[in-house]
Amino acid sequence: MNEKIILLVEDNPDDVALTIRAFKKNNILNEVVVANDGVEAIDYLFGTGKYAGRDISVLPTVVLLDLNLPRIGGMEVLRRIRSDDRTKLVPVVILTSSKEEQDVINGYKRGCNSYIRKPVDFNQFMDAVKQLGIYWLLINEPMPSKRRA
Amino acid sequence: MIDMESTKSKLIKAIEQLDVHDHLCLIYESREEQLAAVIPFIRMGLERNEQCVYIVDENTAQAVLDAMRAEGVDADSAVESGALKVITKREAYLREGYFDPDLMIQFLKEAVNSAKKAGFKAMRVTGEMTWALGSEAGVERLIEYEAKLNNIFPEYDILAVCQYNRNRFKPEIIIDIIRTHPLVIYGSIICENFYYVPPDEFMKPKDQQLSMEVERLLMNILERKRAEDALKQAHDELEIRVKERTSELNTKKEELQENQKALLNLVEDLNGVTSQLEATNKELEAFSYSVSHDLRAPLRAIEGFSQALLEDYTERLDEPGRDYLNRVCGATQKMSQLIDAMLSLSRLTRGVMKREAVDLSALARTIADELQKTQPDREVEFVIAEGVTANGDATMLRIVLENFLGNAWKFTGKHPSARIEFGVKQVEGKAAYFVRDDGAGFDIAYADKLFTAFQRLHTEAEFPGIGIGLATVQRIIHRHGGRVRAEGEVEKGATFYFTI
Repeated sequence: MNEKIILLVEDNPDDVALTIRAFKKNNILNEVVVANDGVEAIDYLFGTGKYAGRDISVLPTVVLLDLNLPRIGGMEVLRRIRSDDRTKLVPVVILTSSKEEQDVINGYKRGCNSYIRKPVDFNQFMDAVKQLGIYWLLINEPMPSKRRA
Repeated sequence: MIDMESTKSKLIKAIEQLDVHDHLCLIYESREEQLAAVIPFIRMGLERNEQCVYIVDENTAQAVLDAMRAEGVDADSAVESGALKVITKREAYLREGYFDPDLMIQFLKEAVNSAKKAGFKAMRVTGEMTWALGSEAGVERLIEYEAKLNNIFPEYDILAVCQYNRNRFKPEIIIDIIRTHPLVIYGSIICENFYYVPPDEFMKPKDQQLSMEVERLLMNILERKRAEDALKQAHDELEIRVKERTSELNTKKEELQENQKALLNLVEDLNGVTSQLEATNKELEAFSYSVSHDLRAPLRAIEGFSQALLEDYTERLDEPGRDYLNRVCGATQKMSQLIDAMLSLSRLTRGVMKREAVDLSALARTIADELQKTQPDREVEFVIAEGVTANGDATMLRIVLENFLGNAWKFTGKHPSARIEFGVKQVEGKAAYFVRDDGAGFDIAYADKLFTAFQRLHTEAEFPGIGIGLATVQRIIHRHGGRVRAEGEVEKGATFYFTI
């Protein structure tokens, strides 16, 4: 079975828990890999550090990326994803509380597929998570996996 | 040229100062000099409705009239009306074929009287005195005449200029002429003559005359000294006053400079305050931004996990447990509303305002429809005046009407039916917009609390709300330079008036 993996790059554990719960509530039962900062995200994608030895041909179906992260920031993670042939086609959705116009512009310049402002309201937050899960995992047709191609 | 012009105008000004009872001699050397004085003298007389008599001798009548015309004097109509007479020595001094001072004076007196009778204010005479050089006259009688003439001037409305050509009369004659005229025209000036000898002295026998002359000369010396002293004193006083005024001016100037300095300092201070304010505003903006995120992120977690507990663990909770969690959710929602309200209130104070014509009637109608949709079963009659417009920021005015109409909707909620009115009326020449309802109203004693943020006149249980609406409204209206005011009575409704 070709499991569709979600890589959630988020340092706020509350937001992580609420996001995972929102997926479950909406019957999105895919595996969610959580990276608590930029370094963990990169390790996962390129099979280094904590994820040394991981089969990196298995790419996440979508990366949900916060911008304000400890150690390596979200923008840098995005840059590395897009600058490596192995990962450059992975869909990346920026999910952040930043309202800076400059962040939106930079996000798109560096090739994000979508930019979503984290709603501060709980119900809107739940709704946003639900919608982006449904869109990227059910509606959007993903790139064929290398193994199958 | 300029000098000549100024000399001429100086003389004309002096001639303008002459008046009835003046007896002058004009001492001249050229024809230009002669005419420069005589023509303005005649012109002035014609202007003042005096009968002017010019006795020619050196010049012909024709030449004198031509000279007057050349200077713009309307000599012809003056001659025609009788205001100007140009006559010869034979028509004046030598009417009898010989010269007699007393007869001549008698002739002048009669001439003055008939001039007055004809409606003239006075008689103005000028004569070219060269006639006296002829054999018919004799210079002694001339001087006698001039001296005696002085007696008639105080009594009769006459003024005269006797013209003496210095090149034609001997110096000793000119000296006597000077001594017999109280005023002298020489060059461009008319001068009070301190060599003048009054007729009673002048006509005395030589021996008596001498002692009177001594007396007069001494008096003249004293008079001159007095005049000089007075002049010097006036000059000194003037100098002191100039010094005083100068120092006053300097003090004023220094004061002004001080004031200017103070003003500049004030401007500098103000600039400082302004930039401080700008900095504070920026800080406030940054603060608002972090409030919206830093305060609301944990709030989101509180609400989210309470919700999760309620949904996922509902069977394991008993009734009070669920109640508590519901209260937690309610409180977080309320707090979230408060934060929103705070943020929007601060945004309204800082945001850019764009004034345009806003159709308030249409806006009120839209808001009324939206309200009706929230509770379709309620029986509320909206009475909205047509064609009400205002000049203001459309977004802000929408917030104002939303708050007023929303309040009216809310506070009529406990009545079976209600009437909500929007309109405008003229108050002291200004458009006062109003929203009126027949709902719960309020106690007028607390009217001032209405517009204070987070102050409420009703309990949350009676009417929900956080107490920010009217504070927001007031801020918007103040930003528009308008005023807002409330009227109401408990259970009789409320009316809110605003101007912008």
